[in-house]
This record gives sequence, C-alpha cells and structure tokens, in this order.
Amino acid sequence: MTEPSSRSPAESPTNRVHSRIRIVWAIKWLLVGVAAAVVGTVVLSDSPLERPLLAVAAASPVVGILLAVVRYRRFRYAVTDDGVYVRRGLVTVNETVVPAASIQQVDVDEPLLSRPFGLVSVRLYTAGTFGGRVAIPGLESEAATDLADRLDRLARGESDV
Amino acid sequence: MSSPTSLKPDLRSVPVRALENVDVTTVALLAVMLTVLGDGSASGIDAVVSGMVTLVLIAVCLGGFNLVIQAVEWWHYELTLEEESLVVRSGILRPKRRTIPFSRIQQSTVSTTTVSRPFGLAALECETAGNPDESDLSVRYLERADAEDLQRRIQSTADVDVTSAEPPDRRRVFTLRPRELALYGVARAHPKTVLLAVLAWIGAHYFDPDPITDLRSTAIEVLEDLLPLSPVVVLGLVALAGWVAGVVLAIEHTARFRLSAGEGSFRRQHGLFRTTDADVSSDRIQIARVRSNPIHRALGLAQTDIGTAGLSDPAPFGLKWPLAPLARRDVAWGLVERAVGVDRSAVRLQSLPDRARRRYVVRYALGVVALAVGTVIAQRFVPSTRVIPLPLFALLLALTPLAGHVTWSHRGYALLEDYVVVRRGFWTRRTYVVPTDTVQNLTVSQSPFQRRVNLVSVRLDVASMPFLPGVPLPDVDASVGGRLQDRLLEDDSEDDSTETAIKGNDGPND
Repeated sequence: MTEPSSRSPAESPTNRVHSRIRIVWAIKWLLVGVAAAVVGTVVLSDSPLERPLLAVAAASPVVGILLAVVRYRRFRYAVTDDGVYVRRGLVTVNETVVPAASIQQVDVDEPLLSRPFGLVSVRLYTAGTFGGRVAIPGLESEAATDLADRLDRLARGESDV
Repeated sequence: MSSPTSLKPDLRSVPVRALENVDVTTVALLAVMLTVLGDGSASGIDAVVSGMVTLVLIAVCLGGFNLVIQAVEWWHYELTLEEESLVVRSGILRPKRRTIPFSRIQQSTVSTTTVSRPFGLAALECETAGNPDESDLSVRYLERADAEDLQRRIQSTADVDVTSAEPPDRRRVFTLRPRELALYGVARAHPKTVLLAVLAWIGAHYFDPDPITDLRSTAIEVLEDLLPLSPVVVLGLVALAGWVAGVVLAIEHTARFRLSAGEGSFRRQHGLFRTTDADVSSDRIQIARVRSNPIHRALGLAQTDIGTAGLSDPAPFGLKWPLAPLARRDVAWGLVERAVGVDRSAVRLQSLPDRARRRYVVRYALGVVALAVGTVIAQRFVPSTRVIPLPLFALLLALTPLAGHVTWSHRGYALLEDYVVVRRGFWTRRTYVVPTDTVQNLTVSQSPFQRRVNLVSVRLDVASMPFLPGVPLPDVDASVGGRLQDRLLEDDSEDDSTETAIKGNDGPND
C-alpha cells in the first residue's frame, strides 16, 4: 500500500496511538472469525454457506493482523489550538478536522476489548451529529485524560501551551 | 417584580393540547391495522358502519389517553417569574427545572393556533440565544391576555432589544403568489399520500375479497360502465387519487405563505386550516439551500430552505425551515443572501476537474458490466431472467459516457471567503450555501482510485439534522480538501475577519 499523499500543508501529524491497539483490533477480527465458525458449523451446517463461512474463519487471524497493522499505520492525529485533526482508514483514507470552537463534548470511553490492554479512547462530539464524529482510540488512560482535559479547555475557548 | 410570581397554564389548555396531539395518521394507521387484523365477516353497509365505529372508538381512546397525559403534565408544570429569570418546572417521569435568565431571551411571540383560538388561549414562546445549550421556552397555553401581559413583563424586565418589541420592525420580504402556490402543489410527486392510497387499496382488495354489496364493489360497478377497469388502471386511478390528495394537502398547508424579516430574524406564516406561525433568529441559521426540479427550472423558479441548529429541548435536531416554497430564481437567491449573508454575485461555480468526469464514466461502465455479469450468471440458474436481452447492456454501456458527463456537468462548487457553495443533482438540483463558521467538522476522504488521479471527496457537517449526513462535495482536486481544512482551522478563531489567505501551517503538534 502506498502512503497517502500529503496534500495539506498543515498536516503531517506525527501523533500515533499506542501500538498495543493493534492487538485489540486483531482480536476483534479474530472474534468475527470465531463467530463465522460458530455460525457455519452450528447454525448453517450442510448449507451452501457453510464453506464460505469456514473460509472466513480460517482467514480471519491472518487478515485481522494485516488489517490491524495497516489501520494502525494509517492512524494519525494532531491537536492544535485551532482544533483537532484525525486521519484514519483502511482502504479509503478519511481526514477529519474539528475546529476547537465546535467541540461540544469530550468523552473518555473504555471499550470492553481495549480495557484489558490498558487502553481507552477519547471521543469528540460536535453539534448535530450522532455518536460523535471523531474518536481517538488506543490511548493510555493517563494520556487520554490529559487529552480530554486539553480538548475541554479548547472547547471552552481557552487556548493553552 | 419584588416577589416571585408563579403561574400555571390555563386549565383549558389540557383539552386543547390533547386535541392538538391526536395525530390523524396514528388514527388512520390503527384503523388500517384493526381492519387488517379483524375478521372481514361483515359486509355491505354493516362493514362501513363497523369501520366507522372502530375509527371513532380509536379516536376517542387516543383522545382520552392524551387528555390524561396532558392533565398530568399540566399538573406538574409550573412557571415562576423571579427577579431576573423565568423558572420552569416540568416533567412527569424526569422532573426538570430550567432557569432562563431574562437577559437571554431574544424574542418572544404570542401566538394562537386553530384549536386554541376558540378557547381564547394563546401560546407564549420565548427564543433564547442561538446557543444549543440553552433552550427555547414554550408555554402552551395561557389566557390570551395573560400571555400578552407576561410577554410585556418579560420584555420590560429583560430590556429585550428592539427586534422583539411587539410590533417588530419586520418587513414582508416574500409572499407566495397563487400561481406559485398551485405549481408548488402540482410539481411534486407526493409519494406519501400516493403510497398510503395504494396501500389502503391493496389492503382493502386483499382482505375483503368476496362481499358483493359493499361500497367498493358498488363503486367499481358504477365505474365499470365508464372505463375498462383492469386492475392496473384501477391502481393507477388510486395512485392518482392519492396524488391529488397530496396536492390538496400541500396547497392547504402552504396557502397564504408570507415571510417577513427583521433585524436578525425571520417569521413565516402560512396555512389555511393547519396554520403555522414560526420565528427563527438569524444566528441559528446553519445552512441555506436552493432547490429546483426540471419543471421549476423551465419556469425560472426555485425553492429556498434554511437549516437551523437544534436547541436542546423543543427541537433538539434543528429544522428544515422553508423561506420560500417556490419563488422566482432571483427572489429565491435574494432570500439566501438575506439569510446567510452571502453575496450572490460573488458565487461563481466552477466545475469539477476533468478527471472526475472520466471517473464517473468508468464508474458507470463498471456498474453496467457488473450488472451484465450478474445477469449472465442469473440466467444460468433462473430461467425466467432469460427474457432480459443481453444486447441491452451494450446499449447501456454506450450511454455511459453521456451519463458520466451529465453527472459531472451538474456538479459544481465555489469556495468564497466565508462560504462554501456546492451544487449537485441532475433531476432535482440542489445548491447549498454553507457559511464556513457553521461547519462543525469536515472530513476529506480519498479512495485508492481517487488517489491515483489526485481527487478527494469532502463532506461538510453542519449542526442541523435535516441536512445530515453533511453536505457532500465529491471529487474535487486534492488541494481543495487541504485548503478547506486550513480555512476551517484558521477562520474559527474569535474574529471573523476577512482572513482568507490560504497560508501554511502553524505547527501540527503541541
């Protein structure tokens, strides 16, 4: 895979999330594979779907690790006094920019799967969107709290640093 | 005011609100469901009578239920006028206490509805600053004199600015003319009523097939003499009836449309029986849109809507707010200018890069090929699909360059100093005007195919639910994405000065 071309002068963000998140993401894919295996052998055994499902299950560890690695490599974020920038994506690369003034709410989530690995995520909410448009996963709890505090200050219009 | 005064809505507001809350569609839905579930043993006039009885029963039950709810709500609702603020206590399951400082009330309106007028009641509505964290207040209903008195007291205490003084200096800026009204009703498909009519007809046909003497078959017998009534023709007639009903309803609700504008606010009034009188302050406007279908365009007309930001309580998601249901194009754009302050003469749309057109052609061609392959495979297994002639796909393939060109040529955009303008749509053409400072966030995405030709797709999210998920700006040059990102991050600083130069970064990191 080629690196996405850097097209905006403002953006060559270096912040990455914690590398342990790769394990979490890979496990997620593994779970999908397990689910496919269960469905294939128990529910849909002897149906034409059984073989494809088992194939998915067999491929999931390798594919999962691959996807997790790519996703980790792609994910970048940056926080400036002006706002937040996040780049993410597997195939299609998405870059989202949230101006500081439109941050409405900042949450620190502890997703079930990441918790055993000591990782939490920070989620940003802007007005009029469902579920928060931007999430930064895979942060260590302390870093996440710091980030959330910083974003909160930004949202209230106090610039820092 | 030295001591706090407390008051409750007028007791008569309970039946009024209950009446207003009886939703005709709910009643109709329930009736249809009951008819479907019920045994169709009765026939003829009996069926009609029992149907009517069911309908009335449903309406009465719903009405009674509403009455109880409204009564309990009324019981728990209390309004207290304190020295500097209004305090509202409300809520049954989750009691709430909301304080609204008078200083925050930007404007207040006393209005009556069709239902409340005979009872001599009026609603008092206060609009607070456009901040989504604060909310509007709507007291339904007070004795008209009380409402006006309260409004005066709020204004005198609040020192509300001139815009909300009772005769607000608003000028009529748009009046819908009869010709436009008629067109507004006719030049639309009215899918809702058409669907309802067709579903009702199918339901009646399917669940009640044998009775000879019922009203429907009588009607069919009468019509059979006039028309060759094949089921298709009947279905067509039913759909037509649904469409006509849609036209009538649309015209009824939009008749006498008038829009007035004052310093920082709009007010629209319309409707014959279902009347609407609504107010919006300009700082809640997030986006403006001009829309037209081919019929409108042929006549030089267009519609103008704005999207408003959601307030927390009464309308948490914002509204699509029509400024002009149908107006001459220049009038429609004049309203956009007034609403979001864009200078129309500065809007010069530019087309997407040529690469985008090529992309669309390739995309459509691939789509046709995929369809053809799918058909070939399907013909192996499903004999009935063999009626689809394969040369059809060759024809479609030959048309893809045209389709790609049409898609491409109908899209356009303009990046102005403080606005982004996006146009799209072949059939219904929509032009969005988004002030940069109402953009909540912006996403630039690039698929591997786009990467090869250096294109990106941009999506602008605004805080107005009807316009979710954002305004798409597909397939622009990659530099546009970067420019928009920079602009969004820079322009959002406190001063909205004409800082538009696209400059470099000030450091991505801390």
